[in-house]
Order: sequence, then structure tokens, then C-alpha cells
Amino acid sequence: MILEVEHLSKRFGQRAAVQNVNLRVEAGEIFGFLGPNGAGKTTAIRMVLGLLQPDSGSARVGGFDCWRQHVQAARHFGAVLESPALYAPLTARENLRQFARLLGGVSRQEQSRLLEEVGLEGREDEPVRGFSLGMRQRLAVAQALLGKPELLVLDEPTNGLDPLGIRDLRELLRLLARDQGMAIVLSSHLLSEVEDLCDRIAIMSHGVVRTQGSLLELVNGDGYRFELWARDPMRARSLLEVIPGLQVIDGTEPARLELRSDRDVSELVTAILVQHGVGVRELRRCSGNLEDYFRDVTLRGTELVAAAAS
Amino acid sequence: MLRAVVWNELEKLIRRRRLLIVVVTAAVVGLGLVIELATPQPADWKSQTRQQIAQLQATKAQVQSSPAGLPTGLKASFGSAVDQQIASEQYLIDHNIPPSDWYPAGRAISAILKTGFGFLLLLFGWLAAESVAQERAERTLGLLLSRPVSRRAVLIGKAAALQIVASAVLVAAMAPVYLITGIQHGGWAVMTTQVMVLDDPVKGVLAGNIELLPTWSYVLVALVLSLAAVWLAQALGLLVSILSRGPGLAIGATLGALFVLPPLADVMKLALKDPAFLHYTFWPYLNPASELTSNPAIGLGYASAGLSLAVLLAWAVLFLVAAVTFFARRSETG
Repeated sequence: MILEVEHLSKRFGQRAAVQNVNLRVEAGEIFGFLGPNGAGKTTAIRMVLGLLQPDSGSARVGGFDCWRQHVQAARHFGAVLESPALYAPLTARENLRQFARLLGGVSRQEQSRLLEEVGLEGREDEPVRGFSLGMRQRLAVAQALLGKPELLVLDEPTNGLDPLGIRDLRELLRLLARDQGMAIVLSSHLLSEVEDLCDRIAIMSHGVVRTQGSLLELVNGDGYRFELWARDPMRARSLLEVIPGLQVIDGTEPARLELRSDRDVSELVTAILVQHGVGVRELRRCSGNLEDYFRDVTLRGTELVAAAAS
Repeated sequence: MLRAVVWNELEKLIRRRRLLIVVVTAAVVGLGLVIELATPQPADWKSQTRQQIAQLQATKAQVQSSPAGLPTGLKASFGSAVDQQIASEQYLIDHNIPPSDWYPAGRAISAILKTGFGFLLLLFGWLAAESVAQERAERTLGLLLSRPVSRRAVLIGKAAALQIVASAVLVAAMAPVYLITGIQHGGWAVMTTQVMVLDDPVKGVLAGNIELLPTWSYVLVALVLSLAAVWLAQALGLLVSILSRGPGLAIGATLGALFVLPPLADVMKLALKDPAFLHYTFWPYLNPASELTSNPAIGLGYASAGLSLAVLLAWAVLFLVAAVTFFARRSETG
């Protein structure tokens, strides 16, 4: 477990910005942190990064308390904060060197490789003040990756990136999680980005984590749904009905069947139909819609807060 | 770790403010040189001093012989003051003691401390005041503090970087004035030459009230007192920078304090008849020229140098400790 957040709370005056947040992120996992503006995501992230002292609870990275043992904890993470802030008079290379010095042991070759990896080759020696927002964002990602951290915390990392930049970053993050086992906490407003990248998500509203879990489980509820387009739907239905735990429902169109199960039966269904010579035009997993789910959860959160207030 | 932070801070400071530093340093050097070159070096200080004695004696005779108009008591006290001044000048000639600003090193230090040091103090107060507040405003502070470095190290690193630049600027300001004075007037100061300063300027030039310092010692004392004053200004600036919301406010408050407090000290000294508590505030000690004076009735005198250094260092440490304490606890929400 690289990140453990337990009962984390923070108030600003009378306002509870973060209330009793509990999170766990494992190595190699991409964790999406969602919530509307003012939900408390950035406050929670700032406590993880050691910028804010929690009122109660703790955030631990690599086993070290992020506030009390900040220096040790910070050796395990890299971060890109909301709006990429860098030293404008310094060049990209000098900016990276600033942060590399604080980590120690990061070679110049490693720094050059990172600049290349984020697509800033050829611009390394230009002052950052002349960079576009997207280029600053790329440089911010490069500094976060210095020293190969075990945890990468990204607050709106695609801000200012063009579509190609977003695609490159997405691929880089997948690669980092898969090949290097890096855990990634991604806070974003772009639900499509989260849907595409994340294994698990948490949704915050009004300072409270309303829900968290596997993206598929949360969005699809408890079960799996499939759409089957078969050449002989009647025969397919009779063959599939015998599978334990599988519910076969007639679809809205004659050639379409809807399958519901508590587990992933796609391979089994395909095998049975092929074995019995039933032509399969398409077998597609139906996923729920994160946008709808997000709206429902945050709306519920707002209603709960309103009810508590009244 | 601290070395890395200091290196980083030096890089940021020089890249961000090199123009300001160079312009202020050049202005201070220019001002020092103009004043220095406008004041002719006497070919022989003893001759000049004898001339001054003769002038004083003539003035005294003129006043004493004036037929009417001046009360007798006033004539007597004037005569006594002139006699004391003549005795002081004669003492210097008899004991072969040139004034502190007669040699190039003394002149350079005197020129910088008397004319441009205030600007340097304000420059470093400014740089310290913006150091944290500017990073907060530009949102780089959050990124810096999220890296594996303690807040104490960040702050000490900033203070150390400022002090390194201040030392370089002070030496850079004094060196050209020294060189040009040497070229202009010749007679390069031997570092073992003795320089005279007064223990208590009020008492005048009397045996027991003068200190003869080797030039190297005079230069060293001037640098140490100057750096202590700069350090105080920086520590104050850093504390204000941490507590204030924006760089403009931090710079304004720091420069305001450095501008207002020294003249306020003079006013309080007169109005409250030199109250004891004033000796333990840093306000009267912000210009080292005051401790290194050889002119009677001007400044605090060399006897105050130890107290001055101790008070400046104590306040600087106090401000730094307060700055570290506040910075370590402060939430960075921006």
C-alpha cells in the first residue's frame, strides 16, 4: 500500500473542507479522484503533499506521515499541482535541475531523458516565461517524475494540453503504472479521461468521499450487462439459459438479447455459441455512464448536506 | 540538503533580480565615487590640520575681541569649545594619527557606509521581503514545499543565499571606491596602517577616547557590522514575507520599517532623553558608520560596536526563529 489516508479532516474557520476521508492506493493502480469544484479534492491532495496540516487523521505515503515526516514521505511521491507553477525566469532544464538538486542522485542524462519523454526536446534551454500552458504542464509532469517516485499525484494534469498532448500523457501514465508499478492519483474534471485511465475512483462532494471503488463496479452496479447480436436469437437464448447465474432478456430488437450476470461470462457465451454453430454478429459489454453516475452521487451529496442543514 | 537549497536560491535570486542588484550596486558605487572624488585628498594631512588649527585660533580671537553684542558667558563657552577642538587637532598631529578616512581603504568604507549603505539595506530588505511572498503569489512555493525538503531548510537556505549575495555586493561596492581612491591619490594603504576611531564622539579627541585600529581590522569591523545590519534587514524581511498575503505588502512593510525606525530612534532619543530601552532596539544601529566615526559629536562611537553587533544579531536571530516557527506551521493553500 503506497498511499493510506485515514480519517483525514480539515476545517477552514467554520467550513469543513475535508471530513473523515479514507483512501488507499496500491502500487501500479491508477486512482481517479473526482468531485465538483469546491468538493475538497485539492485540500485533500494538499494534505497528502504535506502543504496543509490536517486537523485530525493522517495521510501516509510509503509508510511515512505526510505532515510530521514530510521529508521522508516526499521522497516517495512526485506531484503536479493545479495550474503548472514553475520558475519563469529559468529555462526548462534549470527548472528541472532545481528540483533534481533537492532529490539528489538524479543524473543530467535522466533529466534530459525526462524532458525528451514529455516532448520538450529542443526547447530545454528556453526560459519558461515564453512557454505555452501546455508546455509548462509537460515540464511540470517531468519534474514530478524526477527520481522515479512510487506515487504520482496529478491535480488536473491535462489543463492546457492539446489533444495530442492529452493522448501522449495518457499513454505515459498507463506505461508508468503498468511497467514501473507506479501508483497514480489523478484528480480531474474530465470524466472521459478518468473513465479511460482509472482502475478505481472516489467521488467527493462537500468535503466527504461519497463513494469509492472499482470504476466498473461503481458504474455498472453489482452485475455485468452484455448485448448479444446473434443470427439465430431463439436458439442462442435456449443455449444460454442453462448457464447458471445468467439471465437472458429479450432485447428491443429481434436479433438482440440482453444478458445479465454477476460475473464476466463473455468468453463462456462466445464458446458455447461457436460450439453450437450459432453465428455471433456482436457481443458487447454495456457499461454504465460515469457522467450519469457522477451526477447522481454529487446530487445525492448536495441533498444530504441540505437535509442536514435544515 | 541545505547546500542544494542555497544553490537553488542563489540561482533564482540572481536570475530574477540581477538587474536590480547590479543597478543599485552601481548607483551606490557611483554615489560613493562622486562624493569621494569631489573631496580632495590633502597632500599632507598634518598641514591641513595645522591650517584648521590656525583658522580656529583666528575665529576665537575674532570672537573674543568683538567689542559688544555677545554676552560674556557665551564668549567664554565658545572659547572653551574652540580650545577643545584645537586640543583635539593638536593631539592628532603630536601623536601622528591621521583621520580614519585619510587612507584609501578608510575613505572607501567611509564613502560607502555614509552615502550608499542605506540603499543596500533597503535592497536586501526588499529581496528578503519578496522571497517567500513572491513564490507564494506565483504558486511555486507549493511545488517547492512538496519536495523532500524541510521548511526550515528552505527558509535558512533563502537567508543564506541572500547573505552571500549581500556580502558580494558590499565587497563589490567598496572595492572600486578603494581602487579609484588609490589611483587618484596614490599612497595605497598598507594593511597595518593604523586608523583612528573615537570611543565616544561626544567626548572628542582625547587620550583614552581613541582607538587605533590596524586597517585590516577597521575593514573587518566595518564589514561585520554592515553584514549584521543587512542580516537584520533580511531576517525582518523574511518574517514579514511569511506573514503577509502578497509581495507588494511585504516589501512595503519591510521598507517602511527600515525607513521609519532609524529616524524615529533619533527623535525618541531626543524627546525621551536617551531612554535605556532604546539601546536594546535595533533601530539606532542600522548604519555602521555611526560606530566607526572619527568626527567628534557624530555617531555612537566605537565603544558601542560590541553592543551594536550583539543587539543586531540578537534581533536577527529572533526574527529568523519567529520566521521559521511561523513558516513551519503555516498552511499553504494557494
